[in-house]
Amino acid sequence: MIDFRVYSPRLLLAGQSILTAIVVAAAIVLPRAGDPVLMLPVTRQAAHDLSGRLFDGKTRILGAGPVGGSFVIMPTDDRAWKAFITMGVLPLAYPERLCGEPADG
Amino acid sequence: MADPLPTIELDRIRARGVRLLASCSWGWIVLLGVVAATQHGVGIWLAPALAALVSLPTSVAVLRGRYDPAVRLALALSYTAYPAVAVLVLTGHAWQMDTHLYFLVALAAISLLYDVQAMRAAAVVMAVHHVLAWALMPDLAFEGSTNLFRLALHIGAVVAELTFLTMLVQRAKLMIVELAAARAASEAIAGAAQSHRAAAEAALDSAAKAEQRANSERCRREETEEVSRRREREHLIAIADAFETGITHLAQSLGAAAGALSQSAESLNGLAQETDIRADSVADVATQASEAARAVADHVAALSGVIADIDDRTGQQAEHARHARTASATGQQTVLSLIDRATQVEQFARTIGDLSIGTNLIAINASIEAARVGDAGKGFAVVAGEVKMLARQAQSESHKIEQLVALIRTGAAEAEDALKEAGIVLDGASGTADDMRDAMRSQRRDAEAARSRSTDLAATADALVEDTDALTGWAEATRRLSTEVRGAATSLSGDVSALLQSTRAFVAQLRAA
Repeated sequence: MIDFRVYSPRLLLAGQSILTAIVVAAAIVLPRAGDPVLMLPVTRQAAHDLSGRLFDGKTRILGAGPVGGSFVIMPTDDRAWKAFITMGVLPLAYPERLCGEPADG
Repeated sequence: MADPLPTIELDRIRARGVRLLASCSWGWIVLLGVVAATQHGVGIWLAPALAALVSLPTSVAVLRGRYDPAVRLALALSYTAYPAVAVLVLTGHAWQMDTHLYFLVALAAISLLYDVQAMRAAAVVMAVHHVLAWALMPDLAFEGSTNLFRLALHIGAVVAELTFLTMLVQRAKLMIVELAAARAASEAIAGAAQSHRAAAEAALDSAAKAEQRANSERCRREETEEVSRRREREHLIAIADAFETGITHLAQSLGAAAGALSQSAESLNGLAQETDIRADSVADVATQASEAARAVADHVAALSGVIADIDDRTGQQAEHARHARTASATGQQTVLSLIDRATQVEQFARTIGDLSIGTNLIAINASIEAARVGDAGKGFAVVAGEVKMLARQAQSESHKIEQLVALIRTGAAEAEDALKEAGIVLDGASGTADDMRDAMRSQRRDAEAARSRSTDLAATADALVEDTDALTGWAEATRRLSTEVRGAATSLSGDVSALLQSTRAFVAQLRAA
């Protein structure tokens, strides 16, 4: 347990740097409304659960993502992000110029 | 990380900036939440959560009262995240990319920390953010054109702001340091002024106490002065009486003295006049004496010339006497020689007489013989007669010669005696001439001395005349002074009367006072 009352300057800088990097990266890679979203599972179970969840007929799937088990979708309900994250799937913005067109699955 | 110019004031300002930025970070969080609530792109909780997450470490540290360089650097890093979150919050909004202007606002806010290192770190993070956005989401971040020059344009803006803000912060720090020094100096001056003020207050207290003492002392002194004034008045009246008496006596004495002085001045005037007359007489006598002395000197000089002439003539006479004595001695010697020659002539005459006697005898004998011979002897007898006659003549002549010699000897003896007496006389005359010459020389010296004394006497007489003239001047001055003294004595008598009247009036006023 870190005692924040006495943490050293070096520890403070390290933690702050990590948090800043995370937040800045999140600001870049989090999905934007109206843009395609890359659903990136971090585990096999998550990939399995993701495929089952995406193919429930409610989600518009644009294609397979650049990583195995990932998909590019067009979100319709913002409140579903919490369920995906709980499953172990990271919803990320999809850089089409960087990753190319989603492959038809 | 250590600042080269650490001061208490700079630390205080930095602490204030840290607290301000930490407080504002929570304002960012609230603002982001409000904005997120109005949007539909991202969940309402996400943006405030990210902002709170990045603000948490620095907030805890600031709440602990820290504002050290690590806290400032962490706070600067956290401020780079808020604009990025703001861009995220406005996802899908037309103004989404306008919010990234707040990167510059955040960098300006970080300058309140007065920490260049923190500013540089924040700028680096901002640049990295732009690079990542350019690399990962180029269409999102740089809509329309994604070339490298556009990225450089954004990064250049950040670098330029960083440069100017760094200059501003550096100058502000220098000003703070100088202000701190000035403040320290002013505090020192204020401390000194405070101490001076305390000293002044103490001095004022002392002065007030001294004034109180002076007042009491003045009251006491006034009482004492009143007593002493009364005593002084009494004493003054006594002094006035004594003064009047003294002045009266003094005036009387001065009057008497003035009268005596006037009489003395008159006497002195008379003496001066008599002195003047006698000085004139003395001057006349001295003038006559001077002239007489000069005449004596001239006569003595003439006498000295005569004596010198006599001396010369006496010398010549002595010389002539010596020459005569020499001639007399020579004559005497000649007479003696004449006597010798006369003796020799007498001897010759005697010899001739003797020869004539013998010749006569021989002639007699020859006559006798011639007579015996007869006629044959007659001629011889004649010759013998002639020889006999010659012998007789020779005897007669020798006898005459002896007589002449006797006469010569007698004359020579008489001449010798006369010459001896003449030599004696001449010796006496020569000695007398020498004595006369010595006497003349002595008289000549005496005459010279007399002439010198006469000259000195004439000079003394001249000096006496001058002194007499000066005495006449002094006598005149004495007469004038005596006249003035007499006038002064008269004036003094008047002044004494006025003094007496003034003294009486003064004493009367003193008594009345």
